Amino acid sequence: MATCHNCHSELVETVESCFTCGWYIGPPNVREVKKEVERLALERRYENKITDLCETGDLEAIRGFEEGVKASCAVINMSIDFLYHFLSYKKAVYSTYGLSVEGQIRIPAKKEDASRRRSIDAMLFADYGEQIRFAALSLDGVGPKSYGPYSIKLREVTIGHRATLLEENSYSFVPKHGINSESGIPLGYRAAWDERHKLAVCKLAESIVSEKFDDLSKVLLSSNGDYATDDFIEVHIFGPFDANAIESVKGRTIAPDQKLEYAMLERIKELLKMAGKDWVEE
Amino acid sequence: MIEQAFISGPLGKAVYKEDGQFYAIGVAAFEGPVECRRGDLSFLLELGAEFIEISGENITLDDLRSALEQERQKHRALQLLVSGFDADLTEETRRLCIEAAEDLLEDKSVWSFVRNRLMSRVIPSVADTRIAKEFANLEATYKAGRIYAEVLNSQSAIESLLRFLGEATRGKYKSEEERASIEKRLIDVGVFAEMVAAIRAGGPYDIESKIQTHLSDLRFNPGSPLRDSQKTKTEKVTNISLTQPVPSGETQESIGIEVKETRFTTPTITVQPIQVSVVLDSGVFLIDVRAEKQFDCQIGYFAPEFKVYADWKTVEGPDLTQAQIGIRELTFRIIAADGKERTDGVVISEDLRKHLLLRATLYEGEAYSPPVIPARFDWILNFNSGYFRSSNVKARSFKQCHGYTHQPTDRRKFFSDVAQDVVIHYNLADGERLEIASGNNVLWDSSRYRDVTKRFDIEIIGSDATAENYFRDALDHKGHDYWIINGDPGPIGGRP
Repeated sequence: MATCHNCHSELVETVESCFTCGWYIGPPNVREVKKEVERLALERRYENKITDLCETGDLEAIRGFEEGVKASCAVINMSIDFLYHFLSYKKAVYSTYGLSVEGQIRIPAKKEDASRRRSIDAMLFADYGEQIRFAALSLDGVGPKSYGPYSIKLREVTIGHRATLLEENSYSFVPKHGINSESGIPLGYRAAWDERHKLAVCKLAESIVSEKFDDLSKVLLSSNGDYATDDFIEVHIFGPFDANAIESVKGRTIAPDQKLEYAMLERIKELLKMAGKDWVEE
Repeated sequence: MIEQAFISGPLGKAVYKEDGQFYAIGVAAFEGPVECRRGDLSFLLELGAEFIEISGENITLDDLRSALEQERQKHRALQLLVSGFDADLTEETRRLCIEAAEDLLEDKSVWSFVRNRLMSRVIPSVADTRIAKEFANLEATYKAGRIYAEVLNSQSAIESLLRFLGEATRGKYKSEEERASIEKRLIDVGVFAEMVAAIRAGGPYDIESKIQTHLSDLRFNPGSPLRDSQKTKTEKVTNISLTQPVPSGETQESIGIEVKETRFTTPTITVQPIQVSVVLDSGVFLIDVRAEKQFDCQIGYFAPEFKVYADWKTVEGPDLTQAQIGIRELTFRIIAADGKERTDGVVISEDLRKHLLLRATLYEGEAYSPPVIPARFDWILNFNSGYFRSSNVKARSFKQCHGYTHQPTDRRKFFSDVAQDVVIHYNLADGERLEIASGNNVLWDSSRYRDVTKRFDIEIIGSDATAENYFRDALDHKGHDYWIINGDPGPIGGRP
């Protein structure tokens, strides 16, 4: 059991600060993947993969991809309504007319349920699942379209210190590895933000060398609009963020004859511009 | 089996619980269901979005999607109309948003929802209502215009109602959450809007019983603190009606609550109103004059010179050197006997709408029609009441000038029946006065002339030399050829 640097009390693994002295110890997901045993397991997988590539003469083929992933970003996809609200809900002119009732759905959502303890959430994050926000790792700023056509690229400075990565979408990861409430998560399949390239190499090196891809971004993240077949490296961000965390939004401009969505998107673009964020045409 | 679901119109998402697990869906068939993890749920909740709860037996996904779509359309329409107030958006985008809401507002439930919401809150101070006013002036054409017109005219009534309810229900709720929940229901079923309309109408209206009736309809539980509070409030306000907006800082008993039984009539003395006319011999209208009723009217002016006559005798006009520093607006306002500003809106007579030369008319058929640059004017004259008519209607000729050399080309245009002057009429009732103010500085005030019993005539004169100012300098020609009046410049409509 780890102890607090400040007061030497035993630390609870699933919280951000020491219960005894309040000393900030960092996001629990990051502490978890930065444990020696987890890091060594990832390092071992990565080294083995590199060794294999050296033997087959394919190392060069993978280096470009690896360098690209070092500069990759976390993206979240949204519908136009979601994005519209996300960008404006804090502005007084809009919030004046919103009549949100605090706690309306929080209470039912918090009710403990036996089945929840068996959920993917509980298996991956123990007690801090409600603090995790999900994103996908992307090379080109385009995220999984099954979640919406607009990809929000998050500023690295706002999430890098509190983000970890899972080799694939947790919906497929848990059944694939036969994880249950008694078994742990296999070692070497998670990474801290600054080691995301190693995870990507472990996962995708074989695909990259065996097939010729024109667009490596589609190898890192493939989505045809169906949750079941989406394939990406999942980013787990500890804690909330707001519209200031956005670096840019990528999507397709809507034709003016679709009057309603066109107006909504034009407004979105102006709000982005006002906030100093980029609109990127896909 | 779905037994409980939460729908968020603003987010276009519904969340439901099945077998102890939350799932999320969107409007389209391909949008879920997908497992909604606790983190996803937190993300939805922290955005301050509204949710409505649906519960019952055997709720199907189709039921949910249908309800979600209805909620989404309501909130889309609301957001689009609120965007009309958003000063951070360009005017073009604001107009686009309002026009895009028109189709949604065809649906009566959407229309009512938007109206009920906008009638429930005072427009925030950060809002810019210029574009909303523009649409309100076109209320016959736009459904959004109808809503804006009602909302803009109801601001003091909304403020009064909110203050009254705040006072009457203070400390009566178990929690802020309960207050918000009850208030939301009253707003969304239209009770708020109905009360606001009644206050505006000025007739007797029993707010308390109205609320009580609706709360019963909404089947609030008997233990609701509001129900308890109703007893107290009923005792306090039975047989009263709100007839006037509530001035800030006054107590509930003195805020225009009137006891019906004590109404009586008092003898009145009839006083003939004092007539005021303001004559403009030039100027650029910065509003679209094609609508008869307008909330206000701005007119750009160069080098105005004031001549003022009180009962036909020359008196001193406003001293523009005393204008508030940094303010280039001269506001003409009528102050009622109780000290409140009269904001009836302005009326553009049919005659003026017909004879005021529009920039669009002058540039009809030209490749480029230069927009007005309001910042170029020396002064902006601002009116929020008065009857505007044309005067000195005659034929005028215009010559075209080269965009860069400013030398006349050989092109000419003639227009018959063009208003050479505009006259604005007011009637000052007993105790009323006309002020011409710049910011906080009142530069001229009709009440200074207590002996005047008949009329004031105020002429705002520009010189012939200002023709270039109005027809060249105030327009953004971008080097294109432009049209200028021959001789004394008359007023012109800048939009369109």
